[in-house]
Amino acid sequence: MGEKARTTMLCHELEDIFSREPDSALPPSAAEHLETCTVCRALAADLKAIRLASLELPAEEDAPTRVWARIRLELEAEGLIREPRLEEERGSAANWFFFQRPAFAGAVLALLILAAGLVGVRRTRTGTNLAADLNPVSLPASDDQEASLTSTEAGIESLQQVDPQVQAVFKRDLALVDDAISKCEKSVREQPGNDLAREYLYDAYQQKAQLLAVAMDRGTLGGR
Amino acid sequence: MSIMKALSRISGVSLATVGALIFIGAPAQARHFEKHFPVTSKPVITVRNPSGNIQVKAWNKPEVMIATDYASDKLQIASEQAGDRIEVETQIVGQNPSADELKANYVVSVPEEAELQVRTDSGDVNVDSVHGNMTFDTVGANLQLSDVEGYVIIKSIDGSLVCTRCAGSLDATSISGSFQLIQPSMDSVRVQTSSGNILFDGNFLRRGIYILKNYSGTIEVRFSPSDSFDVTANSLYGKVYNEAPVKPDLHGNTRPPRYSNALFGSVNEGNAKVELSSFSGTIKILKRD
Repeated sequence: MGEKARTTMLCHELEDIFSREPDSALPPSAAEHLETCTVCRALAADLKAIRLASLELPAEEDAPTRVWARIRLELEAEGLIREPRLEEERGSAANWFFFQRPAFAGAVLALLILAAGLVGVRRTRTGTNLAADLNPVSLPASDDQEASLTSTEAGIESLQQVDPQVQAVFKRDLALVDDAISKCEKSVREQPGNDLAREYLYDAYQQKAQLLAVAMDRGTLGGR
Repeated sequence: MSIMKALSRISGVSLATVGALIFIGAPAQARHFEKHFPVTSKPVITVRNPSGNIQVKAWNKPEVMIATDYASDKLQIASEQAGDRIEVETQIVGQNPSADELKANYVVSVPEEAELQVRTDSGDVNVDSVHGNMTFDTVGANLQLSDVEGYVIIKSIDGSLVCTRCAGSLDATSISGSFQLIQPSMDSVRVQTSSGNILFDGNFLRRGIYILKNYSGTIEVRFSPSDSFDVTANSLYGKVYNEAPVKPDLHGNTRPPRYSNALFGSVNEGNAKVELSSFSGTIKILKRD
């Protein structure tokens, strides 16, 4: 966010454009801002990754309400979001803050969609490896998705985490999970029929989503 | 005379300097919070503390006692009670607290059957002889549970667990934390970490299900000759060492994996189910000494 002073457009103004008109072309001032702001570039990459990933969902999942309902269920099932509890009444609505940090929320959602895609493939499998061999898992091969999955480190830096030890944990473990994702992806590409490799890739995506959600929760809400 | 005056002036300055240094270097004034909450049956206690140690122990009084020591006026301790539900929280009320100023150390005494919900980022958490269900949500905090029972859920990023003589069920996930279960008496264990090690040193209960999984690191289980379990051990790129007298699977529903280093079969009657899985780590199934 620190680079926003160099451009005429501010980060939150660009976020407004993304939320109001997600599919339309950006005005020149927004493009200029993107040139210089790493955080907003990460956000743009996240949103693009979500669009790409959602295109790969099965046809019957196209209805937006169902997709979002499913994502919400996944998030709740994983404990990444939850209904506001009595003890969180002091205006600290975690879910609201979660979606107020689009860069992180985008990354988490992209990861969950990718993970859900893997689960979908896993669930279509029969007792043999034939289904997977005929219908290999689609991996996030594009540069945009790669950027989406790796650009969140800047986001962790930007969180208002007051304890440097805790921030160091997030950074170190993010690197660990990224490394695991990279190795699992390689393994799945080399052995498309390998259930275990696919399972570990799914786990790694889930771990990254969980890590980002916790980092954001601790950062934006003060973790307390 | 002038020399004496000079000396006395110097010593006066030195004393003032030393005094100032002592004042600056003195620890911040300790603050203490203590409250007692009467309860009737099984209380549910929620503790949210970003940094510092939390020690929970059981006692036989029908009340919950929460005592907190902290050093900064940038913190305050808030608590509330609604029947048998008690919540306590360390709140940040000052601007830009340092890591040291964030620390608050808790001692919590609870009835044996109490349920616990603990949320913390860093520091150690010790729970002793509490038999209710518990959940832990941590970033880097290390957990030490002794003689606990009930259903234990742990979600951590970097925190490790040492569980000694734990009974009941355990569902634990971490990214880089390690898990050690020593003399457990648990019939349901699901543990997953990415880069941490996992040690299970205890008996597999009949009908028990034990699922231990990591990405790298070591998974080690120790068995006794009388243990009865079906075992599946898979390491995609790592090794599997086995000292168990594994017979072909008595229940016949395990297919040999195509890609990994694997072991599967039954030990004795195969009453319990043990699944060990790693991506590149080492799996060891060892005889207990």
